Amino acid sequence: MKKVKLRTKIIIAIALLLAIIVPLITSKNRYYMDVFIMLGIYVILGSAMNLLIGYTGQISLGMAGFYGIGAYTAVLLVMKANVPFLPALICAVILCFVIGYFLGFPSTKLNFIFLGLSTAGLNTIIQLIITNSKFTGGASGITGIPSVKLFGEPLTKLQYYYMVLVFVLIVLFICYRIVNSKTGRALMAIRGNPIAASAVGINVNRYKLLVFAIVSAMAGVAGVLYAFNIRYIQAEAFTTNMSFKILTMGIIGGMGDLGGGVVGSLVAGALPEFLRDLSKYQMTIYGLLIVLVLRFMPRGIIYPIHIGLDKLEALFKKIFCKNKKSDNTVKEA
Amino acid sequence: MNIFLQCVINGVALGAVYTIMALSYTILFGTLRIANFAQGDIYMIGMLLGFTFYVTASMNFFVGLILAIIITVLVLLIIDRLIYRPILRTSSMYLFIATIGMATFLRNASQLVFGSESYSFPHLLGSKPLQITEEISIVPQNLIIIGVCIVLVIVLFLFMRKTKTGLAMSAVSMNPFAAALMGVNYSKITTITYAISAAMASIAGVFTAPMYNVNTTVGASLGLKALIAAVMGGFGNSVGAIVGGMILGLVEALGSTYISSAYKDAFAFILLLIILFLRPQGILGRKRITKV
Repeated sequence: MKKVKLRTKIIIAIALLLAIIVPLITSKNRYYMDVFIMLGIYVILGSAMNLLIGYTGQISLGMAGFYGIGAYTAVLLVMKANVPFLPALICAVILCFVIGYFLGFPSTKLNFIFLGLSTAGLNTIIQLIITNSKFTGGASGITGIPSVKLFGEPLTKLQYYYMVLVFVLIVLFICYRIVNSKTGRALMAIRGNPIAASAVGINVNRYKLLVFAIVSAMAGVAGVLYAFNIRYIQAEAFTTNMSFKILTMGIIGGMGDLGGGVVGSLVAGALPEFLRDLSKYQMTIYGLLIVLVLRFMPRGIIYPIHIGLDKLEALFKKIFCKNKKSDNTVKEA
Repeated sequence: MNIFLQCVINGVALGAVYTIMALSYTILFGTLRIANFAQGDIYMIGMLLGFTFYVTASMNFFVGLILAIIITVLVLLIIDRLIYRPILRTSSMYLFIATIGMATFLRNASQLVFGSESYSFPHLLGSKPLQITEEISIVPQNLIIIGVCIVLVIVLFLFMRKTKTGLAMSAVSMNPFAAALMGVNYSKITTITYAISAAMASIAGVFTAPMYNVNTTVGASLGLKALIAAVMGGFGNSVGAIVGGMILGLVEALGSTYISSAYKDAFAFILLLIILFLRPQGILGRKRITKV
């Protein structure tokens, strides 16, 4: 395992602390709790997207499709088959993984355009099935989804938030393990030069396919968490627009940077809350955001933050380590 | 049998639309290796501009058509200069994502300009179907579309084979670096390719306007399906684009009659998956061997 820098550890600790404490203060306000839960779900989606684009050079335009598959599978299992929440979630995740694997099998071999197209197709097909099938409640959706119960008691919003947070951490940990492992190194080799990677014995397709299936499963988890928070699902929530939104989240933070994925998801996810009056322009802004970030800061909005932190660290070292350094020089002399 | 023939006629007309759009993708991808996801929205802008000039401003049809073509070409050229070209220097993957962002932006921004309601565009030669036999008919507009498609294909092929610019484009598509060394102005070829591509999309937009509800969302699914047609035929191959476009049109027309009309939009993607499984390089595509 790669050694984690002290600075990264401090940042993760601060972020985690904020994620745990801030909702405690606002736990009375349902609106804020919903926003925080949604942000958690967006972090799952955005990080998954970031992993896919940044580390495998593949692109999915159908994340909302998997998000929808996850949501509908779990909801239908819970409501029609009386399956408890966790087994339903696991079933939904496995289904998303299998569909991702099946879809990725022909599409990850060639140019990234192919996976983009077949995933966009999946999204359209899922939309059609949801709106046309009676089983999924048609265009009017499914209402009255039961709340999640733990030890027989329904979860409060705050407890639900912490459950989402646990899933976010699991997803981020999996992303981290994928990136910093044999798979991650193989992926980096593929991204750098696919031909050279295959020449040294890396099965390029296998890794691309595996990551795509994992990413699809992550989108499924997000879908389940979304459905049981809102407790009302309809086709509207899983359109291609949602896929573009997820794409924005994965990109603007900085591709190939897990922190960038988190920051990008938070920024893109929180944007509509700040621009409440401009909800008409929401998709226009997302589109513009993708274009502008790629044009003017292809390393993402996390890059200036990295530079700022570098400077801060240098400053700290200058102030606190000055004496130590002079001691060392004296001893050496 | 009559129903079948009727479907084939409708399918050919639909295929002609996909063919023109697929060619407008292919010419960009074949020459510059750029898949412009926003092509469907260029088509939509052409259609709405045609509507604005022909219906709202009640100009002559051909004046409106030419104005629409000029404006859409300018729009795509400006996008190319300001956004696409600088991004292409970093990576082609980033450019593809940027074109997706651009598509989202154009679709929603034009909604702010043109409004979100649907308009109807008058048929150019009347909307009364021409009876071929008692039960088989064809709408005059469909005949026009098929005609426009044939003319465009012939003009495009003559241009690519006979003119110096067309040959330079082929040279760039084979090897941009070598072409530049032989004195081909790469920047100029890029501009011309974008212009042709935008012109084709806007021509398709104006001529197909009577067949669709004219609104800002019309380009999204049509653009995506035309891209699929281009990919199915063998991306970058002009004949492949025609074959892909026609197959897609026929499959959609027959499928929506015989299988299910609710799932009409799904056929294109199922076809794509089947072809990716059987022939990943496309129907007419050649296997690319990458040299190290």
